[in-house]
Amino acid sequence: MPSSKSEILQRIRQANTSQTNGVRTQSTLIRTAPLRKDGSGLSRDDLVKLFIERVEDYRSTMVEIEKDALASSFESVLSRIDAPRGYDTICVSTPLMSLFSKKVAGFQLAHPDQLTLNDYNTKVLGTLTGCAIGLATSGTIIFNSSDDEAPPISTLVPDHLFVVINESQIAQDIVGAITAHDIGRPMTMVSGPSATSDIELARVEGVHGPRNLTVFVLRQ
Amino acid sequence: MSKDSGTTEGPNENIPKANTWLLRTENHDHQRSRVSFKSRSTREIRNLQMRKNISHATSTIREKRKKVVSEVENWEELRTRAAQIKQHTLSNLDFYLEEYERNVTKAGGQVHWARDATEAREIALELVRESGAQSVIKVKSMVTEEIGLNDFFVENGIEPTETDLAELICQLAGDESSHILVPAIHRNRVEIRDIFEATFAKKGSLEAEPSKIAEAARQHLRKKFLESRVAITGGNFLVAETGSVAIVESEGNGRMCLTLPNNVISIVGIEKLVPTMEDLEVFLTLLPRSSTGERMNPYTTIWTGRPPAQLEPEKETPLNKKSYHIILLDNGRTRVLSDEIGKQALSCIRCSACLNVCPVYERVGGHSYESVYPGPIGAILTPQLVGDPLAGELAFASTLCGACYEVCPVKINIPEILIHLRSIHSDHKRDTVLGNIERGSFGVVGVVMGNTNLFNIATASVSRILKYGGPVLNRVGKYLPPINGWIESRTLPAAPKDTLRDAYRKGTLDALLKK
Repeated sequence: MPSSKSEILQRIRQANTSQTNGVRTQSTLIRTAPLRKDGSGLSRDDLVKLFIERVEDYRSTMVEIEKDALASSFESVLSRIDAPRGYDTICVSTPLMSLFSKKVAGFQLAHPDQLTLNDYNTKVLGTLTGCAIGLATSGTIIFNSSDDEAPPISTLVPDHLFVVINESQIAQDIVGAITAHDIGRPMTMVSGPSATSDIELARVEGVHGPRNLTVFVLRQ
Repeated sequence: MSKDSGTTEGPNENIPKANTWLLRTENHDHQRSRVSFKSRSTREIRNLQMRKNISHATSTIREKRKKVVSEVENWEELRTRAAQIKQHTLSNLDFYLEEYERNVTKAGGQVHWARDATEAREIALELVRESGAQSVIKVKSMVTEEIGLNDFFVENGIEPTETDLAELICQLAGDESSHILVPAIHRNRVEIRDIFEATFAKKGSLEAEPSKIAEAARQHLRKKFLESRVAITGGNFLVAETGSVAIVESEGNGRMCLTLPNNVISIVGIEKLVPTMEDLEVFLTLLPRSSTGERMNPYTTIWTGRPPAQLEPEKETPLNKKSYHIILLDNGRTRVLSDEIGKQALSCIRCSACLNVCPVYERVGGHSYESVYPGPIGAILTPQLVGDPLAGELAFASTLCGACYEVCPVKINIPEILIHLRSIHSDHKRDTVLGNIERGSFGVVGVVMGNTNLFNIATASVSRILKYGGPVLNRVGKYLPPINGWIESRTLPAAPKDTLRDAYRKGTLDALLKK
């Protein structure tokens, strides 16, 4: 008996050649004109503006600040959060850790290596992390599991997600944004907080992922 | 959503059970005993709760879609590109599948091939047993519904849990899904609250509010996510050049399933391939806007060989190995591929835009189609996947208005395929008595319409027959085959005094048309 693989491939070849009198078509895809015309890009300022507007559209909180104001800005954001009892820890990705002392606004800061899965579920209020790319048109943040970022679990299980993005990381849209990327590591695209419309199409935020998304856009 | 939709009828008892559905087995004999689309839709159309929910959902998503599509300047160009990518991939599918397999293997994943539903179910069961798990969590996946995986797992002692909210509702209620994107849309909030309280939530603990119900699901599933060792997923796209899988979702349940359990098994149809990451970008622009009417869905995860869970090496122990498997499924897809017109249906990216614009779907709902794939795409995909011309009756569930073709992000010419399937269906009936009568009648019509004199005589006599016989036929016609099918749902019009030609000759055409 032929293997399932060879049988399926055989069926495909038969199906495809039956329509071309046994001739195989060329195996190259002719990609017509590029989807983005040169020069259609927005200015840096407009790009940042669009990015902020579009991420805000997903009911996220946007904070636009000078690069060196991150620590104080994060502290003031944290101090306004009414955390549930027991959630006294904030996970901070490695490169951002040096900006802070041990505690911020009463929260204990912890490196991802010090946290277990159970910690994320029972005592981590949220995670502060960098990201790889921002897409302005769709208001999307892309993580690519690099060392600049906190690990996937930490951006998923806690209820708050705080993302730091440099204005230079913002691209116009997805076209051309991820091709050059290293996809050897898992990639996650986040556009607003987790959401469902499964009950009578009424939108509810936060089914499984973080219910609150705050993005700090660092201007040069 | 108005509050009053939360009241009304109790649970719908008419939901079909899985074993009567198309595509679940290789033995299609049960179809002979199937209830026809016509009688099923006649029953469904009386389910007012369902119709109200569906029409609210489809009209809302329709508007949202229109708005975000109009923002994309080169939308038409993207559609054309997407159609080209899919056509190209399908005509070189063997090449890309092998390329895909090589790249997955290189990245540490394992590829399996399944000719049909039975084979896919058995491979999946074997893999779950190897991991030693008694239960699995599932990302919303149409293909696992297509192959009836949940029932099979239950029969074999493995407990599956759906983690998408709507799929969970359907699973707990024993319902089939009624919409590709929002499968539980036939249920209202009171019913859903009752379903939850009858299963995992304490009686009287829940308010019938979407946010409260979603919170209960969050609590219930959080435990499962943290404890489960195996996740089962589908896949929206496979990228041949890298060996990647992309999963597009909203709730975060997909990310949970891919990030927490150590073992992930994906079951994906062979038509989901695209050649490169550059091609994937085209689809990631088209899919969310067409599907939920958002610029981008909340979460998309793309991984290659090793899902996010495998980033944490310290979780792996000799007793709890990490693994990634993907099962590539045919189950009728190569049959569809061999039909020159019908194969376009394989380009479908399951966005459900065609459901939301279809006047037939909006009224008869998803359950009338008796398939995992409802609506216009279901009407062309199901009969072809099943490969039984009799299932082609679904191709008649359309007005051929073409709205589905216009919104399709990959430009599937659904009306063209519907007509094609209708002709196959009719050819198949050719040798039956009814088929002969039908063919004979159209032969006569052909002769009459091809001859001016005969046509004049015919129209004149029809108008006379209608004048006197019309009212009678309207009353008794529903008992007279073969016209009963027509009369049942229509009333014969009152005949004008003159035919169009007579009126023209007499110079009274203007007066006739004004009426």
